Parts: sequence; structure tokens; C-alpha cells
Amino acid sequence: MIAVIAGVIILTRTPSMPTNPSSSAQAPVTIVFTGWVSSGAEYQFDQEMVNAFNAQHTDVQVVFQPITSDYDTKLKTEIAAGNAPDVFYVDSSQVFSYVQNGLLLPLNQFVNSDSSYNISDFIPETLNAFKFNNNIYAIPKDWSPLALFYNVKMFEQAGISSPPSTWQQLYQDAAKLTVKSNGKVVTYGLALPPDMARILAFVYQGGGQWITPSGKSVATNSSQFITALNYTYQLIQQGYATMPSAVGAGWDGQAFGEGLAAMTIEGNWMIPYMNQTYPNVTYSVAPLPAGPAGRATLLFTVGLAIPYNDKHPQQAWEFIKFFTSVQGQTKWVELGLALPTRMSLFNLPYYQNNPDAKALMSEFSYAHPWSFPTANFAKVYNDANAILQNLFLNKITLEQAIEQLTMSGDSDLSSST
Amino acid sequence: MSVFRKRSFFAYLFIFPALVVLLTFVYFPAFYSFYLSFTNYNLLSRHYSFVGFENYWKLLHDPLFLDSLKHTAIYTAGVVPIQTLVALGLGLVYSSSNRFVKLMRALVFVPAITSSVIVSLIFIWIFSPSGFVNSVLSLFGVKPENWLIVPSAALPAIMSVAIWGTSAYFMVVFIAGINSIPENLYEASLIDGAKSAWQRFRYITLPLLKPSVFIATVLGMIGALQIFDLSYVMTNGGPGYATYTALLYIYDYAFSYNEMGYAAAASFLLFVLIFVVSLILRRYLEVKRWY
Repeated sequence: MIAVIAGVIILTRTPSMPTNPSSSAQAPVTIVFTGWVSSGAEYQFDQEMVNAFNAQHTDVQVVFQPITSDYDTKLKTEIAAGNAPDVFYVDSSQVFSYVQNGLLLPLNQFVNSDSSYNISDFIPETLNAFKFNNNIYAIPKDWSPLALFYNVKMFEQAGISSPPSTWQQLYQDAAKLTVKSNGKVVTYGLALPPDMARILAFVYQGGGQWITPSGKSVATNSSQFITALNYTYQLIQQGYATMPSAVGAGWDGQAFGEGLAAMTIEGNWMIPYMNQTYPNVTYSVAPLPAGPAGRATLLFTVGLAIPYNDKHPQQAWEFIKFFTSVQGQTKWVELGLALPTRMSLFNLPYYQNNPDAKALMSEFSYAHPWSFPTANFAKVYNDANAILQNLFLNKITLEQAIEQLTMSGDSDLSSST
Repeated sequence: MSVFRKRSFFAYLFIFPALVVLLTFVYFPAFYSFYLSFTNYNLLSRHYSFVGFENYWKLLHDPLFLDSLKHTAIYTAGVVPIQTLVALGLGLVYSSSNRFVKLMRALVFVPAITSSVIVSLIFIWIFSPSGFVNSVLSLFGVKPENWLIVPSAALPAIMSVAIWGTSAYFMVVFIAGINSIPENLYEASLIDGAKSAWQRFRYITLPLLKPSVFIATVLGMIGALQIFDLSYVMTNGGPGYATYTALLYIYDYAFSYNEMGYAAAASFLLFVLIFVVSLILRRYLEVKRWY
């Protein structure tokens, strides 16, 4: 028994023992790369990236060890225990809590020392999601904006020739698309969850903001914020928009696919979902309509980061560089339907043949990253969503919602340590 | 050599492996988390310091924590008495052992051995606008709703699922209790004039089932105060925070907000609560067997 335990300890410890410098030429350094996997296909894509990298390198070999569920919880405990992988996915909304605790290695030295890497090719908004105090902490591997997905057949039936491009048009179209039968709504104009990750797009279109750039307070009692929240609230109140849960759908993509809503606001993850689950629904993608302050959308991105105390930062960087280089990005976007973070790839033939992806890509210059300079983001976000939910369910009034958003937001943010 | 002759030596030897597991995975984490409850330990932070009772003070001043305790209390107060009564009823119906009863008992027991996540997912459908509950209610002219997002109905909906899911488990306790009542007590009661079935139930079965009632109530209560899975899967604490329970609060602070020290303090308060309620129940419900 003891021998077995000792054997296991020796086996598991071996890789981390310092390697003899003279033998390092033969023995390649093994680094661990981790990410979440939303589907079997994504697992395969990551593995193919790793295989392509390993085939090109003799001195570094990457092992892909995905975390299949509860990604952040597991990753945080691994970091806390000192077992962090060498390269890992980090979501733009989570990155600051890692940065604030000094857990990520700033990548400036690598980025700047390599002119062929050409960091200026990246969409600035995707880089900004991972930039704090002029340090870049992760390299965005892909991104998605929010866009308007609409059911082409329902638009035709309602006599609407083109997707809405202003708030007013969205409102009118949502009204026209709402279909009642025996006094009961069978199709809503828009599926809209009480989720700040959707409502905030309207706030930016109205010229407002939610978490202020200092990360210490919220701007939810500004007139712009109130106007935007009221606009979405009226859509729900008038019965032109529905929460997906109110029609028994797990999320708005499902409500849209089932034909319970004619429009919804989602990102490029909708495209494979629709193709697999609702291949018979004809839909199209349009930019989000402009509000009083013009066009705006949210940008979600995932970056590749290295932990602060990594033993092989140079090798870890080699892998990130490969993944986010022009060749790596080309491979990555052609594997699945991801949008490239390098602007030089916008003209790939792949996108010219794919109008939906192209429509999504054209949103980048209006995009605000879903990334905020606060370590308490999860708490602010949960509290805000609970309040939005109560508002959409008419449990509280708009005034109460604004008051609660401001109070809980300010208190959650000010308690950051 | 004398030490090996002692019977207790071998007793300790045999429980030693289990004891090591218990100490490592139950008692050590419990005491360590009690220690952490006095620190500002953050999962992502590399340093932490002692903060005294600050976490406890903050907890008792957080309306959301008090709300989550309130929801937990309502849930427990509703679920435990009803599920105990239902379990007693099921126990009375299924305590005999002919072949049909045995089959029915197995069927009734299925919810108790079904994963709570699966149960939750099925009940999300049952409560959905086009689900079973709404088709029954529509016969009475009630407008279809997703009952899990109606703020006043969400918690009762979850409570009903819990009662459905755990009653059968405690049925087994009552069947064991009923079958251990000696037959001659019933014969004696018949001679003493307990002619009706109700009288026999009221004066023989029920008093002698008091230990079973105690077990079912205490175990049910400990389980109910730790309600997590059903509200996590079915509503994730919502709508708003209407079904947010103490354990969801602890989970969120520990793993979503990384505030381990604070979460440890919350779980210690929950432990104290469970401990005190168990003592009170013991004071009023526990009886020694007298036959």
C-alpha cells in the first residue's frame, strides 16, 4: 500500500523536477494548456491546434487538459494550490479578478520583443478587454459581438422588408411580429432575457454605462441608463418581448428556434446551435439597431493567459503566439465558426461566403468589451440580474429597479478589497 | 504483549482506516473552515490575514444572507412536517408484505433513488407553461404560467418537488417502525376495548412510532436546511432572489465571489442553526422505548 502511494508520488513529481540543462536539448519541455469545452467539437478543435503546434516543435510539447465543468472554480483552486496550467483560457468578464490578485503574467515583454507578431493587427476592443494599466494579460483568441437574429419567414408574413435599424423600428417591428391567437400570444416579437449581458447593449446605444471606468461605482441612475432600461421594460410590458423563461424556454436561442419569438439578440454561438437544433428555421443576422446615441453592441472574448509563477513562461508564450498568429487564427476560425481577432483575416474567402458571420464581424467598431475593472464582477452581475428579473416580472417598478441597481451596485463595488 | 490481548486494540485497529478517512475528509476540513471563518481568505489571493469576527458581523448585516435564511426556514417548516406525514401515510399503506404491496412500494420508492438533478430537470418541464401542472390548472380556468418564475409560487413549487422526492425515503423508516411493533400489543388492546382501527392506530401504532417520527423529522430537517440542488438547478435562486437559500449563498460566496473566509463564516452559522434546532427537536420528540 505504502509502496503504491510512494510510487504515485514519485511518478507525479517527476515532470516538475528541474531538468538538467545539458539534457534539455533532447528532452522537450512539456507544458499544460487548459480551457473549457462547450461541445465535443470544441474539444476536437483545441486538440487539433495542440497537435499542429506539437508537430512543428521539438523542444516544446503541449498537453491539452480541458476542464469539462465549473471551469473557473476548478481553475481557481488549481491556481490556489499552485498547480496552475501553463496556458489557460480566461473570459473577458473574469480576467480582472485574476489580474487584481496578481495571478497573471503581463505579456508586454513577449508581445513587444517580437515585431513579426504584429499586435497592432488585433481588433483594439478585443485587446482592451484584457488590458489594465497598460499591461496586456491575455491574448484574445476569438470574439463575438451581440447581433440581431431574425426569423425571415415571420418577417415576410408581417410584411417587414428589412431588419430594424433604430430603436423605434425595433419597437414597431416587435409589435407587428407579435401574433395572438384566442387572446393568447403565440409568437412574441423579441426574446429578451433579464440579463445585463443583453440589456447593457441598449444602455450603450442610449449613451449610458453601467460600471464606471474606475470600477468603484455604477452609473445606473443616469438619465441615459434609465431611458435604455425603460425602453426594454416597455417592450416586455406591452407584450412585444418576452423573457425566454416565461414561454418555457431555457434560453432565448431556444425561444427563437421554437418560433416563440421572431427576433433575439445573441452572438455567433447561435449559428452552430441553430444549424444543429433547428435546421429548418430560416433566419438572418443583422447589426443591433441604433439608439439615441447611435450604434453599439457588446463584445465577448476569450483570451489565452499565463500564470504569474509559471515555470516555462517562454514556452507557454510560444504556444499562445502560435494560437494567435495569422496562421493559427486562420486554422482556428476555419475549424469552427469563430471570429478572428486579427483584422488582417477579415477578408478570408471563408467569410465572404458566409454573410451571417460577416454581419457579425462588421459589428466590431461599435463593440464595448464585456470586461470591467472590478474583482467583484460576479456579485454585481448576479445582483443586477436578480433586480432585472424582478422588474421584468413586475415585482418591482422601474424606479425601484433603478434605486436597487444603484444601491447594490455601488455597495458591491465599493467593498472591493 | 498484553496490549494485543485487549479486545479494544483490535477494535481500534479495525476502525483506524475509516477513522483516518473521516478525520481527513470530514473533521479536518470542518475545523479548518472554522479557522478560515476568522480570516479574509480569498481563493484568488495569495495572502490572507486574521480579521476576528468581521465576517460574522458583515453576515448578520447582509439582508441577502438574512433573506436566504428566511427562505431556508420557510422551506424547512413547510417540507419537513408534510413529508413526515406523507411518509407515515405511505408507511401505513405499504407496511404489509404481499406481492402487490411490495411491487407498489418499489414503485413509490423510485423518486427517493432518482438523482435530484434529473428530478429537477423533469419538474422544470412539469411547471413550464405547456407542462403538466398548467394543463391540469387550465381545466379550472387558470392562465398558464411558468410557475418557477412567479416570485410567490417558485419556493412552494420547489417545496412540493422536495416533498415528492423525499417522502418515499422516510417511508422506509416508518415501515421498519411499524413492523417492529409487537403483534401482541394489538391483541391486548383489542381485549381492552380498542375496537376500531383508528383507536389501534391512535393508542398503539402512533405512540410506538415516536422514535421513527423523531428520526424522520431530524434527518428531514437536517436535509431541508441544507437545500441546494433543487433550487440551484430549477431556479438558480431566482426569480430575483426568491428561492435563494443559505447553501446557495455559501456556494456563491465561496466559488463565484472567491470569498472563502466569508463563506466559511456563513457555513459555521448554518451549522450552529442546524445544531440548535436538532437539540430542540430532541428535547421535544425523542423518547426512550418502553417495551
